[in-house]
Amino acid sequence: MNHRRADVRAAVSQRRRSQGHLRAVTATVGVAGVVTAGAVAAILPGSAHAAANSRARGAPAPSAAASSTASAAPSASASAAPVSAAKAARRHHHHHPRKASPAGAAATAPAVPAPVATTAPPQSTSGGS
Amino acid sequence: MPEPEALGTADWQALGTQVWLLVTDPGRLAEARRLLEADLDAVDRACSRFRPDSELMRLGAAAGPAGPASASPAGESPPGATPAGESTAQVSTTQLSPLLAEAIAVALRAARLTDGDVDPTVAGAMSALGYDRDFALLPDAGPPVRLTVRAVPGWRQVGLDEQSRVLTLPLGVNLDLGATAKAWAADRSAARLAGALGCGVLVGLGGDIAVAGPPPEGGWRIRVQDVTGRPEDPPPGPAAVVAIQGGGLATSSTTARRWRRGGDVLHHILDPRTGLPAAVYWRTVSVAAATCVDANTASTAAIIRGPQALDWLSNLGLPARLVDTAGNVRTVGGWPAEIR
Repeated sequence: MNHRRADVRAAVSQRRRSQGHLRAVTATVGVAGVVTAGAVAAILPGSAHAAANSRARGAPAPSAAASSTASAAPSASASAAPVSAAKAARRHHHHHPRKASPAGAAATAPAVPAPVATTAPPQSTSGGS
Repeated sequence: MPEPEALGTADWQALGTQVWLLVTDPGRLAEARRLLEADLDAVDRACSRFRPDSELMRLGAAAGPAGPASASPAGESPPGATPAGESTAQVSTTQLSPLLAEAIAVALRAARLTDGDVDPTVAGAMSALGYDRDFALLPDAGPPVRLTVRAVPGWRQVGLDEQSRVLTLPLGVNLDLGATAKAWAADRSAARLAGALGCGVLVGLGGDIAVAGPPPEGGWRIRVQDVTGRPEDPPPGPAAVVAIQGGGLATSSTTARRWRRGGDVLHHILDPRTGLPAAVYWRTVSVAAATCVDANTASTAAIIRGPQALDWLSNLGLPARLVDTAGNVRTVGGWPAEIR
């Protein structure tokens, strides 16, 4: 399949122009708009060192980061503190979509350890599906 | 050497993919399965793009035929096609169930965080490319489709008031939650089952794996590979086994869910900027994150971002493993070196 670069660039330009227009005429989702990559770092907490560095620097979490609490909190809590799994599950189960919660919520989410390599047989697989 | 912990395991088909359920207390497996089946059935009834009675499809019916599409049967114009990015004057307004509202909120969040790389308004483009039914029912090959570079309508056209659960959708814009719904469902069910059963739980929906509760000793051992499969079977290509203690792990691959139309081999990860399958730079990307939906958002966006994904993931601090088309493996963000 051919993806011509010129066509792609034209489509991207067209899309950006369209987005600018659409921003003015359509309803938005009601939360902060475009998030920079730096903000995403706080929103998609993955490794222990990323979260720790974020806290060590004392960098305030961007307000948009709070939107991640809806999905990030339950499993993060459950993994970092197993005894709180039930509480986390209840909180998640009763969660209703809401607007962004207070800034800094993501910064307090427990870090999840990075994966470790192992030679033991796998219990499950993760592949494209 | 101590005996490895016995796990309760079950697998079956749901949401158009393979479901894996592992629990650290085998005595709770039956109850766990019952809870998970109920959860997935509810998600399917709310979010499926392939069953006419789903809440999402009823939205589509209200919104009218699919809008801007990127492909059409050769020699034909797609029905309802409008110029790319042009807003329609009419919109539909719908009160959503809590479940669909949450699923759409998650999809919009993924779009926002990736600056539109993971966009739920790809439904029209996906259908135009031929992926208009459960993948198991999709013919491997079909007549040619005309491939036209055209941006999808764009997630910013979708308005969702998360408190009132009112969705505003321009006529002709349909939603596909396939990029995020399975990962979100895995997170949701893993947390719910761990809370209800008081044991460790792994929920895998295709390549999207969420774990919750106390993990087995050494963590949950997961083999990342091109296409999901049974752990006892040999991997179909480059693979690595890692253990996670919590959160989620997701793999996106351009080698899975492929089909042929005419002379074109298509895959299911669309670039919203073109409305066509993303250019293949990475064959497979695996990401670990605090949640499966975050991992899936990042792995899907990485496929679309191509070589730029390395820096992006590295800056995010997300452990990731990327395999290029030649089979070369790159890792970032603390993903462990492979043991040979």
